[in-house]
Amino acid sequence: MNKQIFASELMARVWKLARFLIIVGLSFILLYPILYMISMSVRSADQVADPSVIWIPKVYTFENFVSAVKYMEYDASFHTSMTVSLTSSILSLISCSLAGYGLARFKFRGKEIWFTCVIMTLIVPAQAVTIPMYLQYQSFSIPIISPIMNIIFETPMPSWLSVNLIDTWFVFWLPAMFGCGIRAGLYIYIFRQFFRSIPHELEEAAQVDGAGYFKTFYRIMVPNAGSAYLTVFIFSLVWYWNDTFYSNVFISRKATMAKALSGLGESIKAGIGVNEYRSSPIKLAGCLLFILPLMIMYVFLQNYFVESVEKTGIVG
Amino acid sequence: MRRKPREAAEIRRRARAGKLFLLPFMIGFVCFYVQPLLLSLFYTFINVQPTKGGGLTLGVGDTFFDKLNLENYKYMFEQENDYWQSLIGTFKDMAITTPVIIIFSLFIALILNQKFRGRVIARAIFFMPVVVTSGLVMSFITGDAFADQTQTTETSAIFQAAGMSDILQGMNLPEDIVSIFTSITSQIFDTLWLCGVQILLFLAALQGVSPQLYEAAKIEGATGWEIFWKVTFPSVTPIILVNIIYTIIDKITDSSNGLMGIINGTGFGAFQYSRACLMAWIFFILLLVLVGLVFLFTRKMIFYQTDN
Repeated sequence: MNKQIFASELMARVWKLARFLIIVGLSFILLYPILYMISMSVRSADQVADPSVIWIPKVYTFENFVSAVKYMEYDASFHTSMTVSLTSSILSLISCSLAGYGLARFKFRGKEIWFTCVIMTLIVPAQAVTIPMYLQYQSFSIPIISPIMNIIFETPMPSWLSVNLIDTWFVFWLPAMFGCGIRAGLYIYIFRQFFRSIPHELEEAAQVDGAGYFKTFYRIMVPNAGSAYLTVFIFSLVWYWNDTFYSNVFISRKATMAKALSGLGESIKAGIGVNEYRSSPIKLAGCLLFILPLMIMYVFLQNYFVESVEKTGIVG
Repeated sequence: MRRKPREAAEIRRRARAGKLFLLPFMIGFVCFYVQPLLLSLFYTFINVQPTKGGGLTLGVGDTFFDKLNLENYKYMFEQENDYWQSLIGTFKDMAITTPVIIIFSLFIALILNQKFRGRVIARAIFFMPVVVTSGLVMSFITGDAFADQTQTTETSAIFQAAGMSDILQGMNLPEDIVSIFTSITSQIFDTLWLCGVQILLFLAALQGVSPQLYEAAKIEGATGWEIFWKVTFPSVTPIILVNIIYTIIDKITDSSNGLMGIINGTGFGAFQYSRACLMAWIFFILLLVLVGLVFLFTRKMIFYQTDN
């Protein structure tokens, strides 16, 4: 008996040690690129290839950040990205939570089909819809009627009825408003799962008091769904922030941060000529500047975020 | 049994309210998915060409039916070798990485679900990829930035390129061990970096397993191994399905992979709109079939906890 206890005690100890090593090792692997980016971006060009400098540069410099800010037009692109991501995320949040609530709490014919449609939106590759979407935005008019007029009757919609949305932010706002923004299907799913887990009694009490369905939703359900809203908001903000696909296709004039970053190599080439050793620390500084706003947000919200993911039990 | 008229009216009212909540999505789905998908299917049968004014010509022909042809399909099956190869490569790649990602993220989630000191910090670090990661940033640190230094390896070269190997060589380790170590860490890194959302979903599922089940299992004298296979694993099977599908879609529709590059290049580089639509459609149908198969095969294995 004693032997058995000893053995299990030993196993527990060994597992604790192994677990510690795994966590520390993997954490290091995850943090490594960020540490590396920081280390590279604070050193001057001549120290990039210097083998005697591994982690800590001999001389610190903020030149790379200054150059990155210049080449990325940080002020303007930051402002643009912030505005677009925030507005689109908020619109997404509203439309997706409405849809999620509808799917979670009401019975109506065709509900299962609509839920399948929500999941389907995740599977449709963006490439399959972008070309028609581009043409649709180019002369945006009454959907469904205008393509039929165009294709079958070969008469374009009258110009007073159509408007060019390319290069405007409506290309992000319109889908977000109607629950079809970037990865909106996932958000609707998260909201549905969350609203299903809220006890019915809350709503029933409100309805006995004579509140309508919509009033019940925004008075009772929304305040109780803070954690789901936070989770979706973070996801949504991150994905809009990182988007280069839609902004490359639909927006040509204004630069978001993501576009500025993906074009940073070219801007540097045009600015200082082709020299990898000079440009790579600037690029990494640019990367850091790009993720900085997300990192700051994450540091402040991560506690709530992790907690809310657990509480919402996205999974249900 | 016949319902009372008042009850029936109430049910109808609730149904109408439910549809009203879903209405924005319904409109969006029709305008931003159904319509473009049908249009892009239609484009595969005609020859869409951009005109100078920024408009479009929808094929050549006097009437609507004269324009329809199968030229794009012929071209597709005879000429586009790059596309097919890349398509096969993408699906193969996905078939290999998906199980690795699923198993790895379940393992990490199990560890993070245990109680230990520093758990909060560990979680913050492991979920960081969800927030920070994007194809963009990753391609940037692993690809572009080291374009001159990296070899043409498939995995990210960050650990070869950056100081890591120097540090190890500085410790007087033999060359072979250094290269094995760096390649392993690179692969772990690549996998780990893709696991953020999956770990999150698994962790949420693990938190949802009722503690009574564990207690009951312990009283029965089950070992940790048995508890995992009899209690933990069955409880997370629904999320395994969600995660498999999420991983497949996330990996395969990532706009930075080669296949998407070819489709984008055909559409927005060479302005072959019709061919790009056809490429995207073939891909979409294969993806649908794949997801359908995953559903079919896993349906029986999934254990649903009954709602109380």
